[in-house]
Amino acid sequence: MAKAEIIGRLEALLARIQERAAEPRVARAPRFTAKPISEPPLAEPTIAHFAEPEPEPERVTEPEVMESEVEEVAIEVAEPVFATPEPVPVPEPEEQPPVTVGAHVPEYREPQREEVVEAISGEFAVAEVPMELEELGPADEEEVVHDIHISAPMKAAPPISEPAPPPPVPEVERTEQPPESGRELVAAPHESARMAVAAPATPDPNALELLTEEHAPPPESSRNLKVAPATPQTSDVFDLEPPVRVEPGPPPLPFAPEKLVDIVRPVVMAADVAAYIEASRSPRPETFGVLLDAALDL
Amino acid sequence: MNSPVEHSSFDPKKAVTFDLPNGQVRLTEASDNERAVIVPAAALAAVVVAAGDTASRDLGRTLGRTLGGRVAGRMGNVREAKLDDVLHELATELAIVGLGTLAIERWGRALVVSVDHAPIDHDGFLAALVEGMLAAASGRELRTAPLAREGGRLRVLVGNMASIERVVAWIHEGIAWGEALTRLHAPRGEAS
Repeated sequence: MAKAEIIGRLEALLARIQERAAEPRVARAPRFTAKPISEPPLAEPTIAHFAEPEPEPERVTEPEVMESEVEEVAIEVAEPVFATPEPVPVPEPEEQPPVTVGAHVPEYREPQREEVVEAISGEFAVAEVPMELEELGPADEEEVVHDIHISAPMKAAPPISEPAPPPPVPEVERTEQPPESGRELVAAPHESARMAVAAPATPDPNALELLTEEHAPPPESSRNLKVAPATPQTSDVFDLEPPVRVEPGPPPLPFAPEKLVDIVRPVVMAADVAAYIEASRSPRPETFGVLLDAALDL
Repeated sequence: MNSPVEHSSFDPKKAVTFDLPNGQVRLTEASDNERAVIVPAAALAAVVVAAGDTASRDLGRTLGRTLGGRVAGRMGNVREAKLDDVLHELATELAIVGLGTLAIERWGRALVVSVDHAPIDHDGFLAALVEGMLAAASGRELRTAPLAREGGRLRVLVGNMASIERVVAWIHEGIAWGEALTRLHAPRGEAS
């Protein structure tokens, strides 16, 4: 290659450099969000929007990234309005007299008191057991004794509106010899059992006086039950002791104290701060239309 | 220039209206013609892939014009607004329909729109979507071309028809998209 050709190329290159230097200065675009580029080294484009006193015409610049922060908004959906069809009028049935044919109306019985028959003390008027006997045969001169045993203590039925179930049928045992042939005793067990355990409506005061006279005074040990014991009970001791308080201690540190230095260390480098200040000072008069027109003019 | 406060009349809470008794979904509350259909992303992706490049670009452009038209209707003169405000509105519209997020990069005079988290991987569809959005919002005819994809991020170049064809040709030749943008800024005689 001749020297003249080399000199000519150098001169052309020098003229090109001088021409580039004479162009309007290019500013570094403000960078809002750094976007790492993993692509192979790219030739950086020139920025022709902001003036900056940089002599280098093909300075490597980084893209200006503008990200829109769209707030996450939970769209509230109104509850749907469902058009429900109007109900079809149904004629009300005419009131008719209650049908009693075949209906079994249980006989109402008063709920029995919640008392054990065996625990009833005092003098109670025990009604006579209306043992209705049907004599089917000729009366026997010998007296037949019937013992009526109540298998379980009868308690009062719960206070409900429905009638209480019938009391258990007393078991009738024959202690004597069965009646002779031709004689059969038929009793009404329900009525007899109810009448036998029914307590009198009002207690007889005479009977109470008689009861106090008959019963001996309670023993000494039972009469001193309300006296405070000499030694406190276990529960009293716990009541008197002050409650144990557990004071919350300082929360554990998620890191060692010496790591505090690393946490408060500023993460913003000086170059980034300078770039941020520069970007904040640089005016941005371009509107969307201007920027779009510039892009479309390329 | 309008302030961002003036542009913030858009209420995202009323962006989508569910009219369940009538079985309708609308993207805006007032308009009766803005009926929308909620389609699973997989179904839309299947349609885009099966339709081919031309039909998928038409679909994306139509959808983008709908989104950009609503931005223009809210902001009025979009060209006189700041880039941040326009970007905010466009990104909001794209997020409402569930097609990802939007960002704008300025490589010199070149305008690059990046779409992230899009549920559809079809680059031509997304580029046409951006094209329709910007065209309807700004009122200018423009073209777009997918530049590069980095994972879930797609960069889309915005330009005129001639510049887009040039960049697409360079990329098909194996030139990196950054180099293609650099060539785009060079004078026409030196770029080729």
